[in-house]
Amino acid sequence: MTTANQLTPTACGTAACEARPMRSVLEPAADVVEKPDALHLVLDLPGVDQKGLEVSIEDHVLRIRGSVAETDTADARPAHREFEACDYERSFRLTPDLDESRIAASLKNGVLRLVLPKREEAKPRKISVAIE
Amino acid sequence: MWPVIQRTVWTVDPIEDAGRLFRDMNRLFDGYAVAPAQPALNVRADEQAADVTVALPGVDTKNIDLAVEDGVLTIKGERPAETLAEQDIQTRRERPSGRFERSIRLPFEVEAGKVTARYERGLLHIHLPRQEASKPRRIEITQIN
Repeated sequence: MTTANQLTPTACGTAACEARPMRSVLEPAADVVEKPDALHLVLDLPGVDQKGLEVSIEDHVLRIRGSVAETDTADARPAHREFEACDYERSFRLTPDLDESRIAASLKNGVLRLVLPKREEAKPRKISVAIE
Repeated sequence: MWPVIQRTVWTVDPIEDAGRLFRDMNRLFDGYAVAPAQPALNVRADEQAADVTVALPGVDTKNIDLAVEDGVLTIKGERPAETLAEQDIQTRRERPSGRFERSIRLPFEVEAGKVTARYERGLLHIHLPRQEASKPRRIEITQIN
């Protein structure tokens, strides 16, 4: 099975980092689960809603971009800060056995789920053998 | 086989490569370490209230416990792991899962009965109004000549 190469994270999009120097760009944590008929890619994007999310495919690279709106509306002083309004960006190289035209995405509670179906010919098949 | 060839193109920069290795190693141990990663949080405070924001993507609010006691806020809960069917193979596991617990000392006494919390886009916002008695007061100075 070609599990190791099906979703290879590519290097960080440095051009995007330079374009928005004031915001940090983080790589969101991801889980990948291979099912018999599809690959499921799950990413943590806390603070991102549908408006701030962009999923695109170009040259067999799936790119996920999410931006977090500044949630702290009050001008109260930060007493303790571990994360900030940031952008998330991560790319994955897709192998040819995935059907790029049928990728489904859903975003709920800051978690993005992408279902990448395998092409028909790449799905496991059972071949019945007649026993004589 | 072309993904493998592409991969070698990406890895010409040894510094970037070392950085990626370091991140991947960290993630490897994040996912499988004994203690699950603690959720990140921010605290903002002014004279009226403290606002705590906790990054908890993909959590059912039923599985989050909040408590305030003796000026300490405790957030407890559980983040679910991906449920796998028998034929499924998890090839990458970076997202933290399992039980977590965090306590932080608040910068002042709060009205425990007036604490409110809402969960939105994977962020938990906790609003903790300051106790009236602990609010800063201006003290008039009587000048005696």
